[in-house]
Amino acid sequence: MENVNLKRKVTLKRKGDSVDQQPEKKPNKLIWVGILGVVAVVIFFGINQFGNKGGKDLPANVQMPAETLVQQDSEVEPIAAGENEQTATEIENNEVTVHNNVSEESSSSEDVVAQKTNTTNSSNDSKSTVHESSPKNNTSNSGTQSNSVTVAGSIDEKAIKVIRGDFGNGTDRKDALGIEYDAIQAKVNELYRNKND
Amino acid sequence: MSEVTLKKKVTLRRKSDSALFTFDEKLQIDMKWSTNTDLDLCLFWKTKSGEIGGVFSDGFRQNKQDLGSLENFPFIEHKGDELAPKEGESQETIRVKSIDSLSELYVVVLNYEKAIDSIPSTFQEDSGRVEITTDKGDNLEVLVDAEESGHVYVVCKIENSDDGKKAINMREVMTLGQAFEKIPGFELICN
Repeated sequence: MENVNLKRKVTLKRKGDSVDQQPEKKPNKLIWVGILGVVAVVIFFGINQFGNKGGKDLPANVQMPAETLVQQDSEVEPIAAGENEQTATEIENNEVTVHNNVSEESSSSEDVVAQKTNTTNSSNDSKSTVHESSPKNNTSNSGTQSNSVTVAGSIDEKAIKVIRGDFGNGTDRKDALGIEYDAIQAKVNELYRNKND
Repeated sequence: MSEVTLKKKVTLRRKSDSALFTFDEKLQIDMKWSTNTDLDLCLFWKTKSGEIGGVFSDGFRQNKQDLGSLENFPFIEHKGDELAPKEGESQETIRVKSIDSLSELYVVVLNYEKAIDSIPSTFQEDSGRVEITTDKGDNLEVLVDAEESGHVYVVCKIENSDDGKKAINMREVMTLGQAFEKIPGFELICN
């Protein structure tokens, strides 16, 4: 006898919630938004740090590259002759006072230059003085220098100190060098040119 | 200034009534009903290469792609499932941008609420109407009001042939089993 099979009863798929009504995977989106936020903050602070390194907020003991110094010097306008009479007078007097014990810092490059300055000035019959007014320098390591060091000496010596960063940058340097600013700056530029040649 | 004449609205009332229609990029199928039941508007088709498919509520298979797309194949989109009307009318809409690759389409109304619970019903009790409008001004209306018992109502069949596009009033009530066998693509919403 032939087998007879009943047809399978057809039933509908039961409708669930619409796909739109199902909970979305918001946590994943939130995580990504959070990650992007953190990255944005890191980039923001990174840019700020980078900007500070190239700006005026450099610590006193960090020397800027020589090329940067020259570039900044060229942007500074010359000072009027009578604008900084006090500084000019000090330079004219060429008074040199050593307040610190030089022997304590004799190993530093700063002192090597200072000693050379003394030698040179004595041979030129002019009194040179290394004046370290900052109390920090009394306790600082030999590798650190303060911008508050004021040195009177020849144009060449001052040019070297400018390159070394002793007089700071921009207006500070212009104030410190006074009426000799132009001459010293010209010497600085000359030294750089010679160095580059 | 040329005179503008609106095309007359054509209502297909008798079985096998047919009407030619044309459209460029927009054919819209609306089902409206006011009875307190969950009707579903579905569109099933067979392509010219013999494949079957359909657009229907994404609730059947939990698949949003079942709603279709106007930008990609099938260039037909179901606007989303609607439940029984709380007040006034409910409406479900299917938009068609192109049927160039399809040979025949079936506009189907499903009395889901009664079918899922196996409650006998007629579309005279749970009636509605289907309107087909085109961007060429054609406007066809088919009433869903058959007396026969069944949960599937094949409203009309759209034939796409070299002779043009034609809507044929089917007005045929089927059981789920009959629809499963006769309507290409209906199996997609069955277990």
